[in-house]
Amino acid sequence: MSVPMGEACLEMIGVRQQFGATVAVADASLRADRGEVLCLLGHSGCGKTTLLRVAAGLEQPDAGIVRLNDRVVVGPGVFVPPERRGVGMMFQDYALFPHLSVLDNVRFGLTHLPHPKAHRVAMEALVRVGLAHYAHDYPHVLSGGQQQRIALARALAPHPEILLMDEPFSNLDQRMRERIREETMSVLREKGTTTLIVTHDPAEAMLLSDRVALMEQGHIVQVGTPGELYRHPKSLFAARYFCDLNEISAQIRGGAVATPVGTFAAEGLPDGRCMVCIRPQALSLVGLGLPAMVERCRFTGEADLVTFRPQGYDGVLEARMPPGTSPEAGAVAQLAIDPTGVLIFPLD
Amino acid sequence: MGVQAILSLRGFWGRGREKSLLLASVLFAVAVVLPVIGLVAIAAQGSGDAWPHLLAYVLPKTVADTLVLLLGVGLVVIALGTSLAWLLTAYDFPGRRLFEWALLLPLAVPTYIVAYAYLDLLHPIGPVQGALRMVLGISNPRDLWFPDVRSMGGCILLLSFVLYPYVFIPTRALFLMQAGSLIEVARTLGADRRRVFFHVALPLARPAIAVGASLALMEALNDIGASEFLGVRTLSVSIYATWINRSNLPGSAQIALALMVLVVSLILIERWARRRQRYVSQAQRARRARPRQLSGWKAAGAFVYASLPVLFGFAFPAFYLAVEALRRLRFAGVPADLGAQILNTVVMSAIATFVALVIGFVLAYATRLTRAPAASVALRVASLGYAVPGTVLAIGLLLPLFALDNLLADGIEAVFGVSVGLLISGSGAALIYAYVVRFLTISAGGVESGFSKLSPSLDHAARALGETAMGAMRRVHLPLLRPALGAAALLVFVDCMKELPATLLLRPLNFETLATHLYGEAVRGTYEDGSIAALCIVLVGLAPVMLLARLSRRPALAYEKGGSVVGAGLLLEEQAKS
Repeated sequence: MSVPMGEACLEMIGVRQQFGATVAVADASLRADRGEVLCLLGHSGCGKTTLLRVAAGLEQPDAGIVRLNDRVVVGPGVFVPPERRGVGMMFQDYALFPHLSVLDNVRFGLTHLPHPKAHRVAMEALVRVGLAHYAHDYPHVLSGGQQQRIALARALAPHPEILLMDEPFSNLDQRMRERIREETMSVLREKGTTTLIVTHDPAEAMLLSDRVALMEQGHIVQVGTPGELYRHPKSLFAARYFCDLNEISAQIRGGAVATPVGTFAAEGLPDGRCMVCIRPQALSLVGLGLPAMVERCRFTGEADLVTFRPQGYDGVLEARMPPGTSPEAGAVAQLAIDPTGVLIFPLD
Repeated sequence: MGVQAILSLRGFWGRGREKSLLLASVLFAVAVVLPVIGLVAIAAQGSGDAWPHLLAYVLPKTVADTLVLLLGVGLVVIALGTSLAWLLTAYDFPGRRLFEWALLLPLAVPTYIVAYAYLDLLHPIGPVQGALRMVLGISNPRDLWFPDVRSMGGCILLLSFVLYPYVFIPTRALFLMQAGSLIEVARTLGADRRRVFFHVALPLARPAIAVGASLALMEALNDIGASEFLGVRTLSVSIYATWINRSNLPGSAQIALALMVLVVSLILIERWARRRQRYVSQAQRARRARPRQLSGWKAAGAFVYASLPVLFGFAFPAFYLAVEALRRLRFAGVPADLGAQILNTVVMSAIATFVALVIGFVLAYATRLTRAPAASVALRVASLGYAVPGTVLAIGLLLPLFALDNLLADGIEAVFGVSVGLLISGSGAALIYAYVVRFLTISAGGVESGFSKLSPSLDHAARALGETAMGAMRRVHLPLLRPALGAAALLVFVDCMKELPATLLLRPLNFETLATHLYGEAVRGTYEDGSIAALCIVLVGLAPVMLLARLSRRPALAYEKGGSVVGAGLLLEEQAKS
């Protein structure tokens, strides 16, 4: 891993969690360094939420070790219940107590403090998320975005060692999501809180996190910075997760792959079946290249999505092109493929 | 435009039909309120010399006794129902799945039957004390001290053992519906299980506890058999005694008014206690919190605690009744009048059920079709009958029915020249009237909640396809409502079968149902003779319990349906919200 190892805040080693016959998490290891924002990314049902709940103490794993700041909270013969772990947890539905005022919600985790101090700390937390004037209202009068910020204030008020967030932005509508995400991250960075975020949205993971841990069927398949995962996915699964791809199955022979749309270098890869993946943005128009018929053009505003039907290939290639540069449907264009946008994964 | 035009024609019902539907539901609502008006009218006649006597000697004691009983039953059913609901939601232990339905069984035992059974079971020369004496080697029954079940304490305990399901069912349903994330987030904020229960789960369940407790207390107020057998003079018992033993109708009406004051305050307290209900049902789709696995002596303790109410509220009395009934059958064969009693009970209950279903359907359908405020007010008023105790209902019905009877008799005599006597009171029609008023809320509420699950676009689609309103009802609504109607019919039928106070007062002369027969035997002290009737009632009462057990797998439904008499409070609230 290219990221320098800092001081570990959360460390999970060989965690396994089974529900009946279903293996939710299989031998997962993970560490989050102090002050780091780490995203657990994966499709629904891949075990990412279970892993988060193991960290919180809401699930007791069948095997594995969990350390929080060098304190073993899960291990052989050890299980520290959630109320004695000092973690903050934010749920997808925010889980605000409907029978308590906003202030009492935030104060819920501050019972160890004397009353005036608890009140002050809670009010500070509310000021930080900009909702101090709602202190005496009840959660149901607040909007979704406000509820989210109250949940954040409540989770952060007791100064948890780590903040665990389960799809914290998925219940917000598109436009509000971006703003709340911004605000949330600025609060977290300001406090330097170590944060573990579960999400299924690759764009969100790349935007928010210092590092991303990608999960597939209970396994952590790759950990790295967003750039590493995007540019150098270790598997077809990882490549597909971050980017729509044009996929062509082919054969590697002597360090190269010949496909109907061109031959690509495959140094160091063994001979055999493989999948050639071409990113849509790797396709561009040139003076002379691969002749292809323009089948369809769609405009999204940010880019033009163009479907090409290359000569000698019975499939199509999807391309993303700068807006306004795409050719007319029915025209014949000359395509160039940028080799840095081509990924090759051996199959089997 | 097409759909709008078709809808505005209103098809078969037309404007006139719609109005007659509306008129019918208003009339039904008036019919439900009539007994209360009658009650006030009778009470206003004054009871002459009796009133000072009542005021000085009867009322203070009975009101005090009733309040103590309510307080005691309220506290015990809340403690028992809530703790059991939490035990079965937050914890997992061997036998938990069994208790999920077994804890509903006491619902099948009416209050007067549990009292009846324990009086004999715990009698000084009964099986329990006999066995104790044998173990302790005591020969004279007087030498063994044993708490007397014929006491306020005994009455509170016995009533609570069969009434706690009213609290248990809705509270457990609400615990199950609470988002697991609320419990979990509380724990990550440092709350231990104790604090989670008292500061999160319990406050959130308060509306369900309030509903359940008020239903249980309504039953306690309505009860006449248990209190009387156990020597507790409640208002219901006094009303009955004042009327039957002293033949003082205005006096008993005055006591009945006092009882109505209690009922209304109970309703108001319940409303107040659930004033924050709207906060609660926010995150219903969320997952449940995982129950905590108990093992060792903790699991054993949970098992024992959960089995106590099942044993005391159902197993012991039912077993006793079965043994007694069997002994009686073997000893003397099938009692000669049993068949007639069963027939009477079934016929009366079936007619009342049918009438209640039809009226309930009209009320609910009028609200849906006309969407007139008057229709929904009529529905709500008509659903209030469940709160009127049977004795009060009987007295209130007496005057209007008597007047109507006389009018009918005079009319018939004038026209045909024959004397027919009292047609309505003599035929049992009064009894059916009382049953319908008391249990209309179940059928109306059932149909209403069934309707609420049918999207209005179904009506629109049927009408747009050329069907009349009547045809849409026949071809769309009725088939879809069949489960709701079936459940309502079952609940109404069984509640009619179990009904005692109104039946005692309104039945025709020499007309015995299972319940009144049992009451008669108990009053005479010949317990074993009533055991067959009691067993019949308990067995029939098991049917709605099984229905509820099935519902309780779907907590939202169980919450809605509450106990046998009436998730009425809940259904009412449901209507008030919509």
